[in-house]
Parts: sequence; structure tokens; C-alpha cells
Amino acid sequence: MIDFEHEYIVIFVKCVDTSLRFFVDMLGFSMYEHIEIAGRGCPILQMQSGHYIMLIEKETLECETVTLLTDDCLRDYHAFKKQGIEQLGKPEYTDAGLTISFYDPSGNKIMLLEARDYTDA
Amino acid sequence: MKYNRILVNNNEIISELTHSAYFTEVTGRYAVNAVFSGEVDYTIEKRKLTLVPGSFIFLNDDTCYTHKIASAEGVSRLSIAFDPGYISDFEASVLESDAVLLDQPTGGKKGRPRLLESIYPLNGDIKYSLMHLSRHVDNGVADQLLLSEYLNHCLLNYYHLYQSEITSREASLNFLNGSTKTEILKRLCVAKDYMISNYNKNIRLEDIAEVACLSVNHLLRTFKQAYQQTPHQYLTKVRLRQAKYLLRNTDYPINEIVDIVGFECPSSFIRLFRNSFNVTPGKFR
Repeated sequence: MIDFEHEYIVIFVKCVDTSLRFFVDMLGFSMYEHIEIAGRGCPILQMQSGHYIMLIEKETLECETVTLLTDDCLRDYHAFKKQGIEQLGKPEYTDAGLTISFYDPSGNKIMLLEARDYTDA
Repeated sequence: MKYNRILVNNNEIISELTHSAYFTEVTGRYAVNAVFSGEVDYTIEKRKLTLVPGSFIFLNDDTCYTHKIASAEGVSRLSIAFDPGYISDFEASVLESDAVLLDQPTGGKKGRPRLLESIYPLNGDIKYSLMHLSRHVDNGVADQLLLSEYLNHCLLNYYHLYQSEITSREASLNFLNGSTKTEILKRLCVAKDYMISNYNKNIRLEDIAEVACLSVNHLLRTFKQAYQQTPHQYLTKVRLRQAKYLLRNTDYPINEIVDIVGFECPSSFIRLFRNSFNVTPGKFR
């Protein structure tokens, strides 16, 4: 049952099991819930920052860029580097905050953003 | 409560929450000292400075300084001491081209950098880097690589800030001679630090000029060139920033905050606050 109190970021993937291993074992996301939509298993994962993502399997997949929010980009960058995430980009400062990017097994570009308030600067 | 950790690259991180402390330091290392709450008094050679919440100071490795904490409410501060070799390596890797780094892998004959020492407001990326680092050390994180990652980014952020606060401002001064520009900006930083340290006192323009070793007219003219505002406007901004901190972090009545930050009249404070932040002090709180 979907919890409508939470906001989910949906990521379309080629294979749920492969993606699940990547997001849980490599990135350290935790399994929050496993729901079914139209007979397909759609795991909901919780990030360290408390945000949620939902994985949905799709046969014909167009890879896209997905932006996920984090509360500490450098902590995550360090953890991902330790895990040996391939094609992990170096942290970059943008107008919106600090970002890192990498690719998931389905070829989606995952951009992790630590949103920062620069209005005082 | 004090957390003190020396990393493998001889950098050191000190995070503490204390009511009273006194240190005399010639550390032989570069230092970034930030204050998150309370006030810390510094004597840096002949200068007396006060670091207020939400500010930090960068000190060179050969600077002799003392700092004193005497506060009933407690002071939360973070201090990072950088090994001179680490700073030299960092500077080379950031400022030099790949070709130079390949030709001179050990850094060539460059000596230790000497940067202009000044107080900076703790905002922008360096605020986030220092606050994350402070949170990790307070939580007892011992991962040296993670802590070093933050130190590296603190330096990156500081050099970026130095570029906008020192190098660009120096370039904006209307003097032909480069060394004159450097000397003028150094004195303007002394003036600026004096205003930040004494924001709650009744400061006269003559006092600021005397501390900075500039005539009043010279101070007014060059300050405007470097900071695009008068010393009085700058002081008002410092006072408003402190008022904002007190509104957010204390229960003091607004009239008391007006007195604490050095404004004379509540109505002018409210008008200035609203004009600066588009919200009244009451609504902001």
C-alpha cells in the first residue's frame, strides 16, 4: 500500500533485482517497503537523508537523469568511493549546492544534490 | 566537551564547547578558527579581535596569537590546524597547471604561502563544509579519509572565498602600483575586522581610521572602492547580521537586541532590518 504521506522519486529500471542490489548493497539505501503495482513488484527504498525512491521495471527504457536530494554530499561521495561505484564524478559546486553524479545499472544518470541556501552570502 | 584529532597528514581538528579557556599559540600550522555560538577574543600580534557567532578567521603558520574564552552561556567553536606542507601541496595542485605539476612533482622552489589574515562571515559553501565537519567530529567519526575529504573542501572553499574577498577587492582599488593595492587592502581588512569585533560599541569613523593607519578621507574613499559601500553601511550590515543571529537563537526581547547590537533606536533598527531582509524582526523570529 503506497503511503501518500511520503514523496517518492520514481526511477525506471531494466531489472528490479539488479537495481535493488546496486541501491541497497552499493549505495547503502535501506528497503522501506515492497509494493505491487499492476502485478509488478516495486520496491521503495529510503536514502540516508530520509528521502524515498521507488524502482519500477520497464522493458523499453529511455535512460534519464534523476536528481536525488541528500543532506551531506561529501559523506555520500566518500561512502560511494569506498564501495567502488563506477563512473563516480567528483563533487561539483553549482548554484543549487554541491552535487555528485554516477550511473545506475540501467544507465540512468543519478545526480545527488545537497541543496544549499546561498542567500546570506 | 572537547574533541581533538590529529590526522595522518599532520592536520588537526579541534571541536569544543566550553565556558572558559585561554591559549597562547604559535602552532607552526595554518589555522581556520570558526565560532558557532558565543564569542572568542583573539590577540593576534598587536590586534585585538573578537570572533562572533557565524564568523571565522584564517591565520598563517608563523602568526603568534592567543585566544580567550570567558562566557557564561558557553562557546562552541571549531578549529582546524593545517600542516604547512599540506597547504603548499594543496596550493600547487589547485593553482598550477598539469604540465607544471608533471615537471615539478615535488612542488619546485615555492615557499610557504602567506595569506592576508582577516575575519570572514561564515556563509556560503565553507559554512556547510565546517558545519558538516563539526557534526562528524562531535559524533566521534574516526574515518581519517572522510575527515580529510572535508578538510580538502574547507580549503577549496576558503581559497574560493579568498579570491572574491581579497584578490578581487584588491584588483578593484584604483592604484597603479600592485604593492600599494596590497597594502591598502591589508589596512582595509584591519578596519573591517575592527568593525566586526566592536560592532556593539559606539565606534567613530576616526577610531576606525586610526586603527587602520589611514586618514578618514583615505579610508572612506578606498573602503568604498573595495567594498562598494561606506564603513558605516558595512557596520550596519554587521549589526543586522548579529541581530538576525540573536533573533534566531535567543529569547531576548527585540528592544534588548537593539541595545546589544549597538543600534540607538528600535524604530530605525526595525526599518533597516525590514529594508535588508524584507521581513520585520518580529516576523523573522
